[in-house]
Amino acid sequence: MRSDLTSFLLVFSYGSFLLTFPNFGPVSLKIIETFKVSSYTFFSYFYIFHIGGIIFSLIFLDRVENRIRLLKIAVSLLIAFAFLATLSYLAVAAVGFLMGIFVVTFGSYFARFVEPWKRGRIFAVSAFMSNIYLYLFMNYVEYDFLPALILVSVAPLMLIYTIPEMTFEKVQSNLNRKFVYFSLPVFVFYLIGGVMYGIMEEAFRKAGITTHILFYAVIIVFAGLIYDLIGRKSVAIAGLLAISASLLLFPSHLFYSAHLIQSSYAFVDVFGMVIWADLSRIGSEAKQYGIGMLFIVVPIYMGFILSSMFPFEMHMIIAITLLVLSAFVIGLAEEPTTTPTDYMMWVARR
Amino acid sequence: MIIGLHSFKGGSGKTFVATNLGYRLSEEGKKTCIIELDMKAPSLYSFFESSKFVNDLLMKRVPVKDYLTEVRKNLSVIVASPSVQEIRRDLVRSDVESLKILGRLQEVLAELKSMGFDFVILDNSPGLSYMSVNSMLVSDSIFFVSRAGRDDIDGLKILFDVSKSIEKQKYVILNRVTSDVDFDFPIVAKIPCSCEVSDDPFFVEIHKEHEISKAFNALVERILEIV
Repeated sequence: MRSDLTSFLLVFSYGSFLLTFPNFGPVSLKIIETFKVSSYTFFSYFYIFHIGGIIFSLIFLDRVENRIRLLKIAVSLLIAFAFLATLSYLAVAAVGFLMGIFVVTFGSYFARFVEPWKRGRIFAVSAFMSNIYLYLFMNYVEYDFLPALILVSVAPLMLIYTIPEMTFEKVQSNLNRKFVYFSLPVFVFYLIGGVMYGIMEEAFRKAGITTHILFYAVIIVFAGLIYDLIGRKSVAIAGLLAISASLLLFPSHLFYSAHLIQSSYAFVDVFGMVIWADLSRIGSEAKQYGIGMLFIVVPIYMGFILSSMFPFEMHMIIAITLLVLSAFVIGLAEEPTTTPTDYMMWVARR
Repeated sequence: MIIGLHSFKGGSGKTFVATNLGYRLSEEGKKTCIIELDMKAPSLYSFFESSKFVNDLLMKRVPVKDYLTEVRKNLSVIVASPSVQEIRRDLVRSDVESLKILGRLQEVLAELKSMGFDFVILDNSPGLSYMSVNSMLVSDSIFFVSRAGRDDIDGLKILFDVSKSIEKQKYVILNRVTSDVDFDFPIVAKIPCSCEVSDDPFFVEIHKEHEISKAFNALVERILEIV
């Protein structure tokens, strides 16, 4: 139960800060407006250093036994750099780096301390709450004063200080090479989604079609439950097929297309953020989770560059073919399961 | 008391131990129930006729009494289904389903206790599976049944090693022993090998003075001491 609450706090605080600030959140938009910097430059700083933080963590974090203490230090620096962004937008580079450490730490916590059959729903409920926080932020925070906006954005990070410290015992272990089967479809999804979403979003906006934040939030809970109770692969395949359907319906049926692409993100976000923990072996969780995260963050950034630097429309047939092939690759991959030995370890721990 | 019978390899004689131990305990006036948890390779159905199986009992909230087959005074069995469909279902069972079954198994055992059963013997599949882990978790004492061959003993070491996270009393029952062997395990019984062992489920009933029956008598005494 304590590990469930800890993992909820980790994901909720990470998600709430990410959504309200660096991941195209309202605070970022305010900084861009204040410093009159291009969004391309601002988010490039964030993403490049975020990737750097993930790489740094995947190399070194498995050697750190007191990872929660390290996270508390990283969060303190994160809060400081978030406020420094009121003076210089370049502080977002440090924010990106520290967020890289944060995400790999919570991933390694998930892999080490959260029961395999609970990870999907814990992540989903935490993500749901983060989206509620974003919704409240966007609808009820009326300040125009940047430091006040940053204060509200960093507030969930303070929850990290309530997490008890624990030891991540050092164990020698190798990577689970089966991650390759899961990384390719995740990469294809985020790249195609990133490239196409810019173009599609503009069309949705012009047509006056918006999907409510809470729509995504509800679907992600549904996806988390399917992930735990039915299977990991089914969530990924549903996400890949939903984005394919969304592309097929674009631009003839914009309403359905908009909701399908939101649903696809909910499904693949759950899959992409949890599967690396499921594939991890004790001792190399940070390495495994960090490598997995690169297959999410790198294509998101590539998609952002491609769609923001020049209008790039992928050939629809190629995009759909790649997505459907990715769904097949996932379908052929072996479902990561708990071995009876692992099952014994998890159940005996309760 | 809940007794879990496990083995590393198949053919070690768990079902033979389960039925004969159950018989002897019932003879001692202890109300006993044998539950067959080896749903991958059921065998008790060939000894005891039953139309209701443990597979259903562990999946549905149904009264345990409907699933009990009384085979003699103080001895009942709950058998596993021989249906291919049920065997297949057990082979593909997920961790989530197994976790639900663990909860249901605890309910079933509590119900048996409330019905006055003194002993429940859980006859498991060989090796380590979700179901055998569940059985270890609910047992008061775990008994590893093994032959005395070198590969069997190596298997025993593995069983002790992998089950170390389950802090229960663990004992060894050596079966089909041909010579006076001794190992560094907590051995509670040495059941000799005999060509007289037949298909009858209760060897100890037919051959009361046989060395095997004497070994079971000693085992029952030891178990009653443990309790």
